[in-house]
Amino acid sequence: MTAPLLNITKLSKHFGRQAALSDVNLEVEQGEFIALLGPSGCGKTTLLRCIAGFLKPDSGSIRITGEDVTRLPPYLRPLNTVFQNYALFPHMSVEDNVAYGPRRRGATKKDALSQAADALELVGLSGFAGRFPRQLSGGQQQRVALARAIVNRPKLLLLDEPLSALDLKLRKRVQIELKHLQEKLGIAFVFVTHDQEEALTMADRVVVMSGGRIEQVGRGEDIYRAPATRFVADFIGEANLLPCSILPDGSLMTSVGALSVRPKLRPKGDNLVAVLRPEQVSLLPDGAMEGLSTVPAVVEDVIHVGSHVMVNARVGDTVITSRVSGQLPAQVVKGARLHVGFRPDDLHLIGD
Amino acid sequence: MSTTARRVSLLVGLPSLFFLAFFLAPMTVVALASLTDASGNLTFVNYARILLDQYHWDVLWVTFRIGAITTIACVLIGYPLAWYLVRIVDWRPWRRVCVILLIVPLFTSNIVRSFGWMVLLGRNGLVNDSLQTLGLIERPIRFIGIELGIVIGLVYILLPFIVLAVGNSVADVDPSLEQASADLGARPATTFWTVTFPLCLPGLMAGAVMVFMLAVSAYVTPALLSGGRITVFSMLIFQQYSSVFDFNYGGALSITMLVLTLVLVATAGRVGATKGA
Repeated sequence: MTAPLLNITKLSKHFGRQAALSDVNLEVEQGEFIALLGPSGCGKTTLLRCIAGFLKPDSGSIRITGEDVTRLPPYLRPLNTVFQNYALFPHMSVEDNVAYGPRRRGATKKDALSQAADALELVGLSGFAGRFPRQLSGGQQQRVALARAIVNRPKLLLLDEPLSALDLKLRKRVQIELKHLQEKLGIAFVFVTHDQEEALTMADRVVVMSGGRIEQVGRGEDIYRAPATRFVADFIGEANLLPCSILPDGSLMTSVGALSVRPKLRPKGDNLVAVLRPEQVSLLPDGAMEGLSTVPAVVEDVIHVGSHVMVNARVGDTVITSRVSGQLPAQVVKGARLHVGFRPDDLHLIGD
Repeated sequence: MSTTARRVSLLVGLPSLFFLAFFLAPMTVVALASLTDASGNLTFVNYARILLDQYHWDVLWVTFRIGAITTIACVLIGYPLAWYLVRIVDWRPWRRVCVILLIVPLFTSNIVRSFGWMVLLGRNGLVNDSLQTLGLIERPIRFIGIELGIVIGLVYILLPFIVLAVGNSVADVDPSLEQASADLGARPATTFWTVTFPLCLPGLMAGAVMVFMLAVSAYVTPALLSGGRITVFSMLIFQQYSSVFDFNYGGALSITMLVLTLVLVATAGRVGATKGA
């Protein structure tokens, strides 16, 4: 059995009394694209900096292909980092920036420059070797930072929100390019982001973090369909969260009333939450529909968001949001009385 | 003229006027004086007197040598000090105390501080006494009346300038650049010489230029610590203005000094720039 590329065990880090990381465990395989996702202050950047070696964890260990690097300084770790602000050396030309790594690893000046030229070609910046970082646009600087890291052919590349400074259009394009490049090079990426769409678009597996803990690790679609915690359900995409409990007869009592649903999965705890995605909620102006659980509701808001419409409907004290793509039925207007329906199987239960 | 235009011309005009009145005008007076004789006729005789006399060249050589040694010593002592203040000290109150200790001497007169060094460095001064008590030397070392004494005094007085200039530039270096260097495999010493030091160089050069200018134009410290045995250029100028009252010849000495200093600094800057790039 070969050791995983990156193996993090029981990693903890405090800043003063504040726990920035507590008991983090994570494995990354060769060539995998991992996104660390979470709101600011969730510990994702702290985790990345611990892996890079810029921060010393209080306890726990970090292994790279089996070797314990927890106490190694950054310059002895077999990985590279793309920094959030790119951290290009302002006093060096683009090619000298990219050749910096090979030079430190003992390449001759000539060799280092030819490796730099290859890396710059890979990111589409061949004509820019002689320029200085300040003469480049943000997108170009980002590519130089990427070239400077991948020129070293690391097995593991850490990226700290590398796209956050780019405008939306460019960011979308770079996301795809970066994903292709990662597949082509076969380097494992650990990518920090607070943008869930970015994480879901690019990563093989998403690590959702909150308050210094890992909430859930999984493929993007699994995390979306079956969030493990209330935080994940709320953070990833939009969700209707219905407090509920399981009655003695096995059926479900929710905040919108009793449902003749017998959940297959029974999480632990008494205070359960049922997760229902807005696109799983249908609006039924004409009442019931075959195969759907329905409850009567009153339309509160109709919000047009370009490609689709979000409708908020009130059921007692609870507001349920439905996402309608395509034509909105004419009866759905503010104040209208109708039914909202969903497939019982779509309900995903989360324990405490 | 609209009020806006008037306000703009005032904003632009006042600083210009200030520069004209306090910087250009006195310099022009000195320059004009240097180009005339006692009766006001245009002449280059003052400059000829300076440039054709080996004595002046000897004094210039001593002056610039003291200036250069002072600058080098200030850089060698000031850079580590600035580094210590900015990078090593992480207890804020102590850093504040250090900065205050560094700046407070600037509030006292050069004369007082130079006298202080005369007392410390004298034959029976504290330095010689201590060295003798410790048995490191048998007879007192002579400091006063040789260039070393002047250099010690000047370094002490000018050190704050270079520490402040370097300290600012060290503090301005983005820590992520040094992290990037380490990430790319550079050991700390390599990171210092390839990233940190080059990025601090402009601040270091600015501080060095300032120290050099102040060292070559210093009068009080060399005058007190020379013990009458060493002459620097500012003493010649002072003699002409205060004892001989020859403002024309004194003016020519001043302008010569000014031009040579500027040429030296510009050359050093040019050399530094090509090396840095």
